[in-house]
Amino acid sequence: MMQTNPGHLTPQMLPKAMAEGLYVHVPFCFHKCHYCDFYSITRQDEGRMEKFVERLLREAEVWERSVAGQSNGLRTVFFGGGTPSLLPLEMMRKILQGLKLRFDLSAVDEWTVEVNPATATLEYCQMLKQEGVNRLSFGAQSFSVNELATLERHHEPGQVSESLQLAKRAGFERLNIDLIYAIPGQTLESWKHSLEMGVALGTGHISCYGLTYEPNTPMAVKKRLGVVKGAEESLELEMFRHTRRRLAEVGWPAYEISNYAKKGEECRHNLMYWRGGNYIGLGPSGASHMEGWRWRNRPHLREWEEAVDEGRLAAVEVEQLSAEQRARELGMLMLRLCRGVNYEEFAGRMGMDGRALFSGVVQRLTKHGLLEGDQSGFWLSEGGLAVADAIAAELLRG
Amino acid sequence: MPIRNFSIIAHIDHGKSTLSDRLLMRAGAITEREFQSQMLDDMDLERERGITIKASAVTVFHEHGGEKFMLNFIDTPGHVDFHYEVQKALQACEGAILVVDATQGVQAQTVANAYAAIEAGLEIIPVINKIDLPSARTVEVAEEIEQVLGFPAEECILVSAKTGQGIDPLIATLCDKLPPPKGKPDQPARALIFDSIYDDYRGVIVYVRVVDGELKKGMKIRLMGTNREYQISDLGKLMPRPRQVERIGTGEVGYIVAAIKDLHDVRIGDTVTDALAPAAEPLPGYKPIQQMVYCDFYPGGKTQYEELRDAMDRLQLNDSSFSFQPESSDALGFGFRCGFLGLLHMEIIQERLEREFGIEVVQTAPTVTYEIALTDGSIVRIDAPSELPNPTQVLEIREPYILMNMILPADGVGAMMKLCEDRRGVYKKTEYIGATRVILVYEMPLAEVIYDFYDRLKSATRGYGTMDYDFIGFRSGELVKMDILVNADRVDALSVIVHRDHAEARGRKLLVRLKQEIDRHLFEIPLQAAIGGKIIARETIKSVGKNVTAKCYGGDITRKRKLLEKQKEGKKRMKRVGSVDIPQEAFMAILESGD
Ligand SMILES: Nc1nc2c(ncn2[C@@H]2O[C@H](COP(=O)(O)OP(=O)(O)O)[C@@H](O)[C@H]2O)c(=O)[nH]1
Ligand code: SF4
Ligand SMILES: [Mg+2]
Repeated sequence: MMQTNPGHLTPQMLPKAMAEGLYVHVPFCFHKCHYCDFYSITRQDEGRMEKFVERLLREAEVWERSVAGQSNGLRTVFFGGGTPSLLPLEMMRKILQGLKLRFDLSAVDEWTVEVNPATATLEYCQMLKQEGVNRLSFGAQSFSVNELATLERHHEPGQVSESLQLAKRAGFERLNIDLIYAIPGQTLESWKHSLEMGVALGTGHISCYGLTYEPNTPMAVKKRLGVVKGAEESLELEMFRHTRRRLAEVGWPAYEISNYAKKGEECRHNLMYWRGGNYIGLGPSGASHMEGWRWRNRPHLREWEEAVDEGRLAAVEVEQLSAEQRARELGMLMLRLCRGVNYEEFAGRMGMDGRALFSGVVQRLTKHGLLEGDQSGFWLSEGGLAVADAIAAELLRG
Repeated sequence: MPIRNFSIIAHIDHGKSTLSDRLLMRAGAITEREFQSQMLDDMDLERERGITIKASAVTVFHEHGGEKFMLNFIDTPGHVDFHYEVQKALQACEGAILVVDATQGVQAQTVANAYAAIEAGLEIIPVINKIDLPSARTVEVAEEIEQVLGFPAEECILVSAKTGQGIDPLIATLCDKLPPPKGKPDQPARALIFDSIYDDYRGVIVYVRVVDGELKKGMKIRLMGTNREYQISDLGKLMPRPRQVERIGTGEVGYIVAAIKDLHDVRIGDTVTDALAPAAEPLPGYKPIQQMVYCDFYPGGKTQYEELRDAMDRLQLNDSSFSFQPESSDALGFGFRCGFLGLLHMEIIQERLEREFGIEVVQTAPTVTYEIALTDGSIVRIDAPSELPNPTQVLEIREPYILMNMILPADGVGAMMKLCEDRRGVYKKTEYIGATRVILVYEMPLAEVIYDFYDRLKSATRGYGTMDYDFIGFRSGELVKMDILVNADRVDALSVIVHRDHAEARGRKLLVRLKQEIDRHLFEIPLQAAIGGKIIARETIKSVGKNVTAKCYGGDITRKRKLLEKQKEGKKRMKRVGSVDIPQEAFMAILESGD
C-alpha cells in the first residue's frame, strides 16, 4: 500500500475514471449527540457557514477541471454531516445551484439530503425539491423519550412524523428514517415499539444501526466509567434478528446489514459504496475513492479551508491499494449486501475472478454453515450474518 | 603472603552480599558510597531481584597480627536452584562463612548449604548477622545452630554487616582459623576454570583458581579438556574492579585473557595448564550437572532462530548449568529444548536472554526428565512428553524424586502435610527446632514441586516457611502420557506426563485453562484430553456469538477495513494449529493447572 504525502494529492495523479457519486459533508450540528464520532462543530455562526459554502464550491472547482468530475458520470449525490439542514435556506440553495453549475448532474437520479427532524420546515423542503433533491433522510434514532435522552438527541419523537408530513407535502416520495438499537437500557420490547413506529411512517426505506461505542465519544467514556451499560450481546443479536424478520414481513427486506427497503427504494448512493464505486467527497472529513485510491479530507474545518484557499485538495490518509487488496476489500464490502459477492459483478468491477481469490475461505466457511453460495457467488447465511465482521476479516486475510 | 580462600553461604536474604561488601569496605577496596549500592551482585537482574545468581570471586588484602593476608572470597547464591553454583564455589575454597539471620534463624537453605560445605571438607565459621535489629534473637539462633548443625553455640560470631559491628573479630577469625590453600607451588601449573564470560573485544574471559604452580602473563597455556592452546595476553584479579597483575600464584584466584574466540573451547570445570610444562593429570573438575527441569524456547516476536541460538551460546558460557539442543514442534516451529536446574533458573535464563541480548522467547510449560525402561531391557531418558516411545515398548516410566526439607512455623505443618500428601509425597520425619519451628521432611516426585509448590509453601506459612531439596533418584510410578486435542488435532507441545490417578482432574483443569486462553472462533472448537485413544476429559469453546457492526460508515471504507484488519490480527501472538489460532499463553496453561 502506498502512502502519499498528505496534501499533495491532485486530481491529475488519479487514474482517468469518472466519479459515480458525489458526497458533501456539512460539518455543523446544533448539539453533539453523545454517541457520534462524525466530524462536526457546534459553535457556528452565519459567517462561518457562509465561508464554508464558498469554500465548498471552490473545492468543487478543483474537481470540475478533472476527468473525475467533468463528464456526466455522476449518478448519485448525498449530503450528509453533521446536519446539512442546519444551513440556512439561502445558503443551501447556493450550494445546490453552485454544484449544478460546476458538475454535469444531468444523469443524477438520486440526490439525498439528511435532515434533522427538529428543524425541518415546509419552505426548506420545497426549496430542496425545487433544486433537484429527490430523497430525504431523517435521523429519528428512537421513538422513546428516554432513549433519545440517553443518546443526547435533542428532538421529540413526534417531530419525526411531522417532518415527514412536510416532506411529503413538498413532493418528496423517497424518504428514509435512521433508527438506532442496542441503546443502553433499551429492552427488546422498546426496540420493537420504535421499529413499529418507524414502519407505520411508511417511508419504504429504513436504516437500523446498532449503537457502537466509538473511542473518545462521551458515550464510550460513560460506558468505561460504568455510567451506562452496553447491551448484552445476545440482546443486540435478538434485536438485529427481529428487525430483519419484521421488516421482511412488511415487505421491506434487508438489502444490506443495516439497510431495509421496499423493492426499488434501496439507496443507490450507499449501494455504490458497497459495490466498489468511484466517488468524490467534498467538505471536511469527506471520503473519496477513485479506482483503488482512497483518501479523505482533513476532518478539521479551518485546515480544510486553508487547503481549499491554496487551491489544493485537503487529502489525508491517502492510500493506493494493490489489485489484490482492492479485490479483497471489495469482497468485504459486497459481503454486507444481501446478494453477497456476485462473481460476475465482481469480475466486472475488478477484472479478477472472485472464485479463485476466495475459494479457500468460501469452502471453509461454507463447511461451518456461515456462508452459502452457488455458481453465481456467495453470501452470508442466517448464522453467518451474526458474525459478518469476522467473516469479512477472513476475506481480507484470504 | 598468607592466603585465605572462602565462600560466604547462607539462606537467601540473610545478608551474604551485604557482608561481602562490608568485607570489601573494611579492606578499603570500596567506599562507603559504593557499599550502599551492593557491589558484588553485578547483573542488573540480581540487583533488581535482590538475589545473587552467580558466585563471583574477589580479592582484597588485610593486615592481621602484623602480617598482610590475601583474602579471596566468593559471594554465593542462596536459592535452591543454584546449588550447583554454590558447589562450584565451595570447591575453590578451604573455608566458608555460614551466615544466619539473627531474626530468622536457621532456614532450609542454611541447612542445605552447611551440609554442602561440610561434605566439601571446608572449615566453617558460623556467623549470626543483623544483630543490630531490635528483633534479633541472637541467643536462640545460636542454640538453633548448635541443635540443627552441630556448631557450638558459643563459637558463633556476632556481626552486623549493615553497621560494621563485629567485622574485625570476624576477619581475625578468618585469618586465624581458616587453613591456607594446600596446592604445590613447585608443580606444573594447574588452574580450575570456575567461570567465564564473553567480551566483545577481548573474547572469552576465563576465571580460574590456581591449584598448583602459577600463571604468568605471556605464558603459553593449554586447556586440558579441549586440548586448545593460547597465549595469556592479560592476567587480572577482581578487587572488586578488574586490576591487571603479572602473575597468579598457588591458591589464588583471578582471570585470564588469551584471545579465545570460540566459546566452545572453554568448559567450566576444565583445567588450565602450562603448555610447555604440562601437568600429567587434570584436576577432578566438577560433577556433571543434572538438569532437572526442561522446557522449549522458541523465537518470539521479531527474534530469529539464529539470534536465539547465538544468544544461548553466549549465555551458556557464563552459566554452564543450563543446556539446550535444537527442537521443532508442529505448533511452534523451530526452537530449542532447554534444561535447567529448577524453575527459578529457567525464569532467570529467559529474563537474561531478554535483557542482555534483546531476545524474545516463547516458552512452553516446563517438565521434568523421565527415565523409561524399555521392554528390550534398555533405559532411555526423555525430557519431553512427545519423546515417549510407543507404549507397547515401555516397561515402566520412572520419574525423579527429591528429598524435600521444609522449615516451617509449627502452625503451618498441617497445611503443608496436606499439600505434600496431595502431591504424592512420602512422609519421612518431623523435627522441632526450638519450640515453635519444625523441620518437615518428605520424599516427593519433582514433577509435583516444579510449578507452584514454593508459592504454596509461602502462602501456607505467611511467608515464614522455607524449603530445600536434593535429587535422590528415579522411581517408577503409574505414569501416563496425556495428549491434548484441539479441534481433533493433537497438539504436541501440550502433551504432559501425569500420574494416572491425577490424569482426569489434571486434564479437566487444563482444558478449562485452554478454554480461557483460546479465543472463540467462527466455529465450535472441541478440546479433548486423551490417554492413548481414550478421551478422559472434554470441553467446548463455543463459536463467536455476535461479531457484526451495523454501523453507518458512509464512504469511509478505509476505516472499516482497518478495523477489520486489526480484529483479525488481534492483540495476542498466535500460532495456528489446523484452523485454530492458539495464543502463546495457552502453552503455559499446563503449568497453572498443576494441582
Ligand atoms: N539491619 C540489617 N540488615 C541487613 C544486615 N545485613 C543485610 N541486611 C539486609 O538484609 C537484606 C538482604 O541482604 P543481602 O546481603 O542481599 O542478602 P543475601 O541474599 O544473603 O545476599 C538487605 O535488605 C540488606 O540490607 C544487617 O546486618 N543488619
Ligand atoms: S446530528 Fe448527526 S452528525 Fe450531528 S452530532 Fe448528532 S449524530 Fe452526529
Ligand atoms: Mg545476595
